[in-house]
Amino acid sequence: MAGRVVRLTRAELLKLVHHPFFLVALGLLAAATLFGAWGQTAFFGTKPTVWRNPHALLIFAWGAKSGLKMASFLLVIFGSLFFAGEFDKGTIKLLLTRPVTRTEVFLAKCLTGLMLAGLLFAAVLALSFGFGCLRGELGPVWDSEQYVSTTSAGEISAHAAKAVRLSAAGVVAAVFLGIAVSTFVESSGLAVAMALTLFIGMDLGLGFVREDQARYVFSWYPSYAFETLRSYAEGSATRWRAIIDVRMTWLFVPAASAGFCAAVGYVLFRIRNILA
Amino acid sequence: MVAVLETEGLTRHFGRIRAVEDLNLRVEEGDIYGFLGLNGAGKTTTIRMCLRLIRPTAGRIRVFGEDLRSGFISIMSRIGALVELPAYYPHLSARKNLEILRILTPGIEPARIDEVLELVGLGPRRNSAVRTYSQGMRQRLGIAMALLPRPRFVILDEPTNGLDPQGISDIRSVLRELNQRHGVTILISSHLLHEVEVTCTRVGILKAGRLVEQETIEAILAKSGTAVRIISDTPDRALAVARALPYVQGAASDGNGAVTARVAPDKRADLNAELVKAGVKVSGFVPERTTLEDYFLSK
Repeated sequence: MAGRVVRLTRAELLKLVHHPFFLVALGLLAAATLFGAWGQTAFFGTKPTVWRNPHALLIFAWGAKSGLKMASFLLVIFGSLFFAGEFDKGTIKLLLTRPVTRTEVFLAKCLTGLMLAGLLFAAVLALSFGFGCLRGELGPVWDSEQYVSTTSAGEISAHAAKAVRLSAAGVVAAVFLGIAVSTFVESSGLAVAMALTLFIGMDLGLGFVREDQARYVFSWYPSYAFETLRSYAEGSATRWRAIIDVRMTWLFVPAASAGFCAAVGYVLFRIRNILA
Repeated sequence: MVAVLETEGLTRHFGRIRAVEDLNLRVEEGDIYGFLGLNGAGKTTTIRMCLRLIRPTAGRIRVFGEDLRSGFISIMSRIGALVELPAYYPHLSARKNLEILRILTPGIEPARIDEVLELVGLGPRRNSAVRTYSQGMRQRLGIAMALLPRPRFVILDEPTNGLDPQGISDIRSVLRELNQRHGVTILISSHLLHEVEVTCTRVGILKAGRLVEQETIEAILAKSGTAVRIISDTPDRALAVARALPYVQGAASDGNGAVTARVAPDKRADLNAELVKAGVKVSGFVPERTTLEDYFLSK
């Protein structure tokens, strides 16, 4: 079985990298990340009374927050295309008339989704961190108003690492939302529309609930993690969150969301008749 | 003869619609089996069930003597299939499309891709994106996909759809060669009755989900006898007389003033005598060979 899943995953990756939207998606991701990192200062200006120069991790937080939002959208789109795209073109028949089981096809698609999520996540972090290092300062967070070091380099780095860990599962869950939708919709356009509507609706809904309630929605985590890192990296004068107080145990929310979506998708895919 | 595909009481209902009912199909090793039926007769549903794309409501399917459910992986590694319209990734070239399938099937060397593309006549366009292909070229690609894994059993649903006469002839030659030289068993579902007649060795005729005939082509044509074309000034009268005779197996007007009656050669003179006795002035009485189409339409 493992051998067949590996072969299927290879085939999925081949399809993915040749997908016409793949390069467009990478371009959009880079644009969103750089716009978040650079556009924040260029368009909205810095707060000169708070710090002398932007901290590298502040630029990183801006870029990562914006880039991961785009990555989540793209992962929902790609996830929606995984099965619905095959139903659309009828190519699901090609896959299922080869010596592979439906479970293996599903696992391979999930693995490909995970790899894609990992790639986009790493690309956003690398790009925003690289840009942050080029345009900002490393070291302690320096508050120019009070002329004191508010957060040591070690502390802010630890916060950044925690933000990265905290946001990963939320991004991964997005691809499984798309996968779940794509298993019961036969049109790729409709699947993308439905999954994006669900995701955006969920995201907008976060604005209407308290923070302790928002923790139950997986898409909240990436934004929260990097917004909090931003408040740390800006300096004490603008720190509005006391601490990144979400413990890692809360990661079960995005993990459970991904698991739930995967389970729903798997059951629907197993039981459906292929009439494409 | 060993059965490559055998179904027992195969049934599929879609709500109240009985798409396939108690189907007992038998495709024997070395057959080129023509699977015939009108639109909606249940041919594609049967093929989908035989590939486990659709679950049957009832019945069993055995392929190469193994139960389809329990031996699925082993069975599918020996089957090539084209179900309804050919499916492909339009932004990829024919080579890349086949490369994806090659990865999925163990034991196929990369050179096999070019081999099948040459076989179906797509060699010169192997690197073009499939979206730029004509319908006939896409159909050829579908056949190449079915043949890629060197299958022992090929299932082709309407394989000559969209092909020009040259393409149909080419594909017929490929299928015959596969069958005769390599011993590949082939099941073809088609509406092109002449194609089936000249290509297939056995046929199964499906009507409203039920198998109404399963026989060799020779036996069917022998059973149906030969036909005579009767030209007269009163075709309606000639038709009525022919239909009333017990040894006439079927009679139909061709709409041009002539009547075609299926009758055994030794009864032709009797038919002619009966027509004359009934006052029909016969100006032409032309023996014709019955085709599979005549037989199919009479079922």
